[in-house]
Amino acid sequence: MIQFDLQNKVVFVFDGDHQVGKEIIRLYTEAGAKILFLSRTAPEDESIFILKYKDGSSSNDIGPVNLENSSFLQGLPDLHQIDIIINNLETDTGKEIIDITPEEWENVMFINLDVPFQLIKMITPLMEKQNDGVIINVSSTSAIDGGNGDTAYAASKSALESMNKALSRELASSNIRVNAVSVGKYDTSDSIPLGRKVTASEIANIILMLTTPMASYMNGQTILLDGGKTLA
Amino acid sequence: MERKKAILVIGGAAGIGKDYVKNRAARGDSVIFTDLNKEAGEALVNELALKGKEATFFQHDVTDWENTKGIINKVIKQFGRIDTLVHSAGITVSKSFEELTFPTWKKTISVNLTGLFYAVKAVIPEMLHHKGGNIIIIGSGSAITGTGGGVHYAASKGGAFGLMRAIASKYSHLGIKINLVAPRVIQTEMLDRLYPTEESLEKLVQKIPVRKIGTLSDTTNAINFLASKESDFIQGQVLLIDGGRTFLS
Repeated sequence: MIQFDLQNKVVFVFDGDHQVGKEIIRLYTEAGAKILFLSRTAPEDESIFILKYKDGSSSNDIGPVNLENSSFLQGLPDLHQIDIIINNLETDTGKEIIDITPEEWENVMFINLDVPFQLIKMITPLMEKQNDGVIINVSSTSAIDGGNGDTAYAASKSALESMNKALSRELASSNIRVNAVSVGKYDTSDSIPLGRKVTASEIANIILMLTTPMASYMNGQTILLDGGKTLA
Repeated sequence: MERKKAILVIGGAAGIGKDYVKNRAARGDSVIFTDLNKEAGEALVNELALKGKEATFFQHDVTDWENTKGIINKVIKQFGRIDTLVHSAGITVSKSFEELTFPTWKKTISVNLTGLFYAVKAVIPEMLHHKGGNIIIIGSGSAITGTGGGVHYAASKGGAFGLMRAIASKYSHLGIKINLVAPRVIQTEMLDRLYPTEESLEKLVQKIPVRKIGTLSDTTNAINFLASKESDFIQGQVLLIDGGRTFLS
């Protein structure tokens, strides 16, 4: 395995609670990066985030995230710098369109689209000042094949991918690269040519690679991580 | 004699939707169309009436679920069923990412994407009840290229792709046909706003492989094809109507 050296880099991970987020944090810590990440301390309310900071083995809470304005970004350690954004936030309804209520739809759009949009918008001025940055949006092959038929989830992910493309065009002149990784979340093992589901570590590995200079010419792409399923 | 088809066009008082409404009314279908702009809707009804053609108009705020549900219930009551839904409602305000505010982002997503969700959600039970129905979404090539007005517009139009595929994955075997027409560089008021001068328009034409701007007939023809039996094996597809602009230039 190639070892990446990301010492002196600051990574902002949207959602460090779930399996993939935890694996991303583990991998970037191993590479020496400092990590800011969002965590939900009130699981009953998906809209409340706490910002946490991790540098090596030490970690601490910074405080609640206010999406209305970027003031929560003031007073962060290493605020002078955010090099990498990894948007791994998502929620779904697990329902078909007939059963999805307008409120459930709104919640999926909020978590999967509005929050990433607002956070990216708050952070990109920093990256523009640095004239350097990488943004990764984690998407899903539901955007292509409808996944399990959850209309809200599929729509939010294809919207995210188009946002990703538009962002990559707009931010390229500031040397900010924007890419997406599309994961076959709902694929079943027997439908995947490789015959098994993706692991959290395989998702984190691709994200890590895309955020290093190894991928310095990659921009505006959606990388399918689906074991060959989608185009099979 | 074949039963008169009931066609519901959401966003039918301007642009692509309006041209399609006129086309179907001229052919004698039962055309029902909605729009936020009441004046424009009523004007179109009058314009058609002068030619001896008929269409039914409802003023409609697509961001209001109760309003959407109410209109679709009325249409079903009055016409018995909805054979084809054409969803053409959409807005755009050209903004750079830097200029873009959250309210503009949210409004664009609400009208272009949530409005589509409401309409499809409201017609699907009715179409399943009749074991068939055809949904045609007017999307945009912006979803593929990320161009055409900003991050908010691309996202709002991109969302329609996944929505369509989720519907196709769930209801294809139950008789629901769904496809998406993705126009780019079509002569509409929206294009006029994006390319306000003759010079900017001419520059655009030079970027289009077929060296011309598309017309409303081009989109209406595509919608007519997807609404017809001749295209019944086409499912879950994106049909770009763009003069080759998206993939060749």
